[in-house]
Amino acid sequence: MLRRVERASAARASEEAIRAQRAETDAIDKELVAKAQAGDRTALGELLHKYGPGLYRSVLLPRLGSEAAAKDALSETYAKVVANIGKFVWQNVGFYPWLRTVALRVALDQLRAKKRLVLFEEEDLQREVDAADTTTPVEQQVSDQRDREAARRKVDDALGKINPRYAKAIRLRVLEERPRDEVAKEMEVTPATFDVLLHRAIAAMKKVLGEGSNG
Amino acid sequence: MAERDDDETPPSEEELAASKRLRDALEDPSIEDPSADLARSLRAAFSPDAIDESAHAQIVDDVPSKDELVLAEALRDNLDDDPLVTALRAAWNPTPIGDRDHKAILARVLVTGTSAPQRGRVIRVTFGIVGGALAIAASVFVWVNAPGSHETGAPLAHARSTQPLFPDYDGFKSGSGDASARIDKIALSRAGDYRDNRFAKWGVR
Repeated sequence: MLRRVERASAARASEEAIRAQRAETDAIDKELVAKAQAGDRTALGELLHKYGPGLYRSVLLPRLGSEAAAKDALSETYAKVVANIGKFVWQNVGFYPWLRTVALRVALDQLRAKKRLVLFEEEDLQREVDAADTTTPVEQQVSDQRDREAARRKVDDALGKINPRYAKAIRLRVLEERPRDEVAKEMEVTPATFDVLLHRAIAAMKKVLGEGSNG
Repeated sequence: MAERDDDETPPSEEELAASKRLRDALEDPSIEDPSADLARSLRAAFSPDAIDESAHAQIVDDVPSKDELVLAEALRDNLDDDPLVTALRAAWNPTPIGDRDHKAILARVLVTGTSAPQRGRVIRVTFGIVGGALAIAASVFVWVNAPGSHETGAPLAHARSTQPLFPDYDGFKSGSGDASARIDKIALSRAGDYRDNRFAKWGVR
């Protein structure tokens, strides 16, 4: 009984510490935003330096599918932030949710402009943009976690639409990046046969994704 | 004495068990039994079944075509460059942006207020600048070399008719043998003009 009380007390203390830390971070960010809105580029640079890398890794790269495209989008996002920082209204949810929404819109524009074969479709990003506008924003750590999980679910969904053996070949060789010979052995085929298997697996997935984006 | 037929011999316990195994194995091919295997091979030899169509299609599909082999080899050698492979990896396990790359993007946007210039724009701008510079250089060259731009003080000889060289002209008579003399006279006159013009250009006249 006493231990349970102690544990509850420790949990409360931990929550309070996290809340205090968050409040401190928010206060710093709020000050940086105010300075940035007054034209201080250094302050804006600090904000973007703090949140940009996470945005790139959790939002842009998984959705756009290539480093070059994700960097272009990050750059475009920053340009929009520079142009529109004056319109941003602080609402006690921090700077990141606004930055993420800007980035999602940029990514959506890029997907519309370039008809490349990528995992995420326009509709997916449109849904995410809508959700960002309507749901309660969360702090970056939680948001990143959700974005990463959403991207992995998207991969799993795509793999679920092809022959399970093809899906296994892609999972082992492409996602887990295991050596070709090792994967061939695990799939009980010769390495040369595995090459054909992987080629067919990739072709099958391209077909599935192509059909998805066309229909 | 005739041998008794086997059917008339009462079966032993062992025989009863073996016959049950055979019956079960014939009904269910997944059950292993040597007698059932023998029975199946006899049946296959006597009356072979046609191959199941979908099974045959599967076997045919499993044999890669020459094109497929080439493509499979190309994919093996360039796996990291395949756009779908890149996209899958980016979604599954995205790599963080390099600090140097991020700082460069950040610096460019904060300084210029615009996103990174696209490659096409760079090429167009570069061509515009180079083209403009070449156009200016060409116009300067033309202006510098335009007639009258050199004030040497000596007028250049201009193209003119050969008629003054032949004041007594009254129509050339063909076959008179004067052609060589006429050409020599024209050539001599033009050589003089050319020499005078060279001197004039060098400013020594």
